Amino acid sequence: MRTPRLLTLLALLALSSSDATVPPAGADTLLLTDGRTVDCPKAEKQADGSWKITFQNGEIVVPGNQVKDAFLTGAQGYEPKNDEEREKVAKGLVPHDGKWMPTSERDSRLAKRAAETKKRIEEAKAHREWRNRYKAKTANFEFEYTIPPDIAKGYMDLMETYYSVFTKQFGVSRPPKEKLKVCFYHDYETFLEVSGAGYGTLAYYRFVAPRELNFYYDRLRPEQTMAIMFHEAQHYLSHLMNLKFHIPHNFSEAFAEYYGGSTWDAAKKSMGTGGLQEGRLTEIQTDIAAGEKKPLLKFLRNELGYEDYTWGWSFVHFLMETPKYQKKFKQFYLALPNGKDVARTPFQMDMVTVEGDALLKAFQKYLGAEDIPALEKEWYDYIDKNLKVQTVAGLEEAAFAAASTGRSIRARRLFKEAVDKGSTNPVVYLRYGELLRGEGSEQAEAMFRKGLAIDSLNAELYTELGRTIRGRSGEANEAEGKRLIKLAAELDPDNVETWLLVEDALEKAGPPAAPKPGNDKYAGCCGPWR
Amino acid sequence: MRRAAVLCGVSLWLLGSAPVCAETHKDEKLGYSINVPQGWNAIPIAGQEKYIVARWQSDKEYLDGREGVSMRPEIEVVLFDPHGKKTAQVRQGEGGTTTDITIENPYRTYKDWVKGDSTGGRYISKEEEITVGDVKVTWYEVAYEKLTVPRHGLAYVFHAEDIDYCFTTEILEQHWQKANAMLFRALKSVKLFPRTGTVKRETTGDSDVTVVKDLSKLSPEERYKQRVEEFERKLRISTERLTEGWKVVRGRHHVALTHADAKFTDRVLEQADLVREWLDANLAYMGTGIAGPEMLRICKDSDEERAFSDLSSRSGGWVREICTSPSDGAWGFGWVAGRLFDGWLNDKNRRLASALPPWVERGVSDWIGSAYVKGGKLAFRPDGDLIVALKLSAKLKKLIPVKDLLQMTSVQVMEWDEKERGAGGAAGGVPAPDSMLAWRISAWQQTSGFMRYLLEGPGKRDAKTKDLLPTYVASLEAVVTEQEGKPMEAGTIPSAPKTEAEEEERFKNRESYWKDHEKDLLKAAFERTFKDWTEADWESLEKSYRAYAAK
Repeated sequence: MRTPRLLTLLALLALSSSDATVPPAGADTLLLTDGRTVDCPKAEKQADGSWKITFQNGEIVVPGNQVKDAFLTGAQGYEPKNDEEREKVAKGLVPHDGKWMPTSERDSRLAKRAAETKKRIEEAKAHREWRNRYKAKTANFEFEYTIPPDIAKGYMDLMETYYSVFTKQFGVSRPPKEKLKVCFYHDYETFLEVSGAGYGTLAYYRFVAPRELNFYYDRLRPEQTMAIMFHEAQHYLSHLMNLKFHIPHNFSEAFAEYYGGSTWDAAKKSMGTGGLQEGRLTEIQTDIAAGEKKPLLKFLRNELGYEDYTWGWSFVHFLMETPKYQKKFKQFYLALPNGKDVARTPFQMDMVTVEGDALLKAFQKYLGAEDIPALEKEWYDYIDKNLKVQTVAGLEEAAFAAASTGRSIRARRLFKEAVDKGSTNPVVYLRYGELLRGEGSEQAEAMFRKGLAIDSLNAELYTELGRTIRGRSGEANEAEGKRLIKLAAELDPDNVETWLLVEDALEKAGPPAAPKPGNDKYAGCCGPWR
Repeated sequence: MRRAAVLCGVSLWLLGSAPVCAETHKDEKLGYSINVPQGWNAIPIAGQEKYIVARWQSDKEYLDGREGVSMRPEIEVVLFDPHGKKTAQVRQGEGGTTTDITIENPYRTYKDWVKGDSTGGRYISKEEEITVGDVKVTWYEVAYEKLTVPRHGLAYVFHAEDIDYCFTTEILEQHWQKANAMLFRALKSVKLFPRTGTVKRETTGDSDVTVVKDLSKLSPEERYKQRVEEFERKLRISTERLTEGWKVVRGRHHVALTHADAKFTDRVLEQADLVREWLDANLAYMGTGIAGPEMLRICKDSDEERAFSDLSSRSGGWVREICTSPSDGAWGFGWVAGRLFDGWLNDKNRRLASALPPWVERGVSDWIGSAYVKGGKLAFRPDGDLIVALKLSAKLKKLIPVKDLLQMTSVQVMEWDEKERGAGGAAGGVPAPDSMLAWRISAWQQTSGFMRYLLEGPGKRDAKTKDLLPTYVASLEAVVTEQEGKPMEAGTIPSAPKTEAEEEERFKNRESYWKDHEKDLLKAAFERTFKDWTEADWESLEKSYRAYAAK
């Protein structure tokens, strides 16, 4: 049975939106530091360095430090401030680049600059197509990427640092003639399309030739991007222990997840391990809340699957952070591919692996752990007492998890904690605002506006803010709500999901517009396309 | 109307190209023509398809030895609406018993199409604006490189003023160099002209969302009448979309749209009609509804069947019709019979269809699937795999006790199999040796085994079990009816939780609600059915069933 909400939405989809919501062709373009571009009718730089962007349905101010480059089509008029300036303006002069010059010269300079800027922006846009990707070689890797080079550089440097630190720790090195190819995409959608990964996969390391690593940049969660990159790099390093060995999924993923939590201290020039993967911890806590704990025996026999990333990670964390187990566990991990006392079975092609009971047996031998139930209890206690969500990012993950499982009281508490700790993720403000709407539209509005203060170009926040305001009575609220929703459509004209929200929000807009008649030589007698 | 003409290669030869023949396909209604490589098979477009308007399949199969795959390239014509928006229309379906929601989400661009309808691991490697004739065209190429079979995609999108006509094809990368001239020639041959019809075509609506409302509003006869009317509408649309060489053949209860020879078509139709009659005669107690007719699509071979079945993702992705071809062999007959049973049961008693436990649903479906025509009557062949499975299960003492089997939910059946499969199966991608054995003794097989015991084994003759199936179905129906009609007790609608602890407790309980609900339902049906059974009765059944399995 469908919910009333779905019915409403579906019915509304039948409504056509008015022409007023169709954004005009953009005249000016801003290139943001996070790689996004914004097309708009008009953009003006303000005295404080910020940019005022004018759309048909409103103005938006973008902080100057978020704008990397700007392409402006028209020169702005100049308002003289005193008589001297008025006299110069009357002679056809305008101030530009610190001096007065004829308008034609100013325009010529502006045109030249605009052409250069346009080229830069077009190039930046074009590089988001995989066929135009950037390529760069570092000491140990070959990077191919579609994110802005200045952002990519930070990750490339980190990757080299990670490699340098952990190849020493593990006593491994890459084949002399082979640099691993690393493919780095500017968003998740592109990652899925180009890398071939299935939906839900965040990254992968291809362990057969041509070996390569694929992951994407999450602009809202850069710390997650780093964790994923380290995770995949750990797969590579582990594989270097023996290229003919396939590490069983349970330890491979759990171990990689543990090292994915590594952090680089630039001041001390040291790589730290043992960081909490708070997103994973959140999933574990959700399982526990639902009354489920994963059995250790299933993990050790490689029978868990996805939970190797969550429960498996916590188990490796427990072993690596508990002094009495750490050394033994490392010895066990290193023995898997090369130890003489580990029974291996054929895997794909010419590779071998360790399976089920043999894996369990090897673990028990190296760890000296005969009593699995006792170890399991110790592990559960460790999760309970030692693993706590601490950071803003962790609180955000926990809040999202609670919201998506219908636990709104918990979600509200966690969102509030994340906001109080200074979350800069606009999606937090969006989801928290939606939850608050039930308590009062003023609270929701305040939250949406806080989100817009962080990301003033977020179409979803404008849509939800508009819906909230329209929910109040009065013509003024109705008009303001609609304006905000239409502004959202101007900001994100190509996003089908945004259009769904827009059309849903414009429920009271009236009947569908009449279809336009066919207008060309290809239109037949039986009517147009729509 | 479509006209096919043959253009032989003289003019092409003069132009210096290979002397390849082509057949001109001209669609007056949609206003385009294309020279399709000669010998390519025109594939009918399913009635449920909304956006693909034509498709041809190569007569040549291309191999990729390294990947171990083969492929027959196809050329498809897809219509894009550059200004299209997602819309939904709600209308009443079958006499007010259902609500049909038609979702239109037209493809707007080639990139939109590739995103939704191509496998991953690819990117657009070329995008160039060109002119073909006097029409603006965007030329795309797609490279399929990562985690997929290397392939090369090619598309020409012709921009008319109101819509875009996309002509797209794909071939194994290692054959691109040799084959691309032929593909380019076809795409460059496209011409647009004023159309006589509309580009928005009537579809069968099979990909739409159907929501069941109130089944009790109409009588079975009224529902049947509407079902037949809807069937005839779908048949008309499907018939209009047939390509050359296809025929429509009517049987007693079913209609075949066929591209196979007459003998095979008759076999399929005859078996389908006999299956229907067997169901009506032997399982009439399953409900009061009257099953409507079904359409059977019989392709000439598996290549054609695959090409026909593959729809655009926004039309559902895969055809919902009952399809088969001579290449499917005996399995195909079983598949058709199983689908007919599903449709028959749905028409007969939709509520029961969704409540049947695995041992009935899977059991009857597998039984029907083993049917074949012998001397104008339906016979049931022994199922070799099933016999082995039962024997092995008995030998290894893995036979699930009947009492448990009859109360197992689908989830429990899957869990049982998972447990038996043991370590290594899922994780490494290579099943451990004992996993192969586990596949053979699967709980699914055992559900079919017990149904065979009832329908053809000792259970058919035993006084205690000969009417077990109808008795059980009646009990299940009664339990489902009682649960549906149960008035809400005061205070059973929970108020929203007030504290986080209360909310967590609710969450914990809710996680297991559906599992428990299904278990409770089957338990109640079981208890009602076997309320008079003694321990001795159960022992006797177990003994008899075990002996049957081990035989």
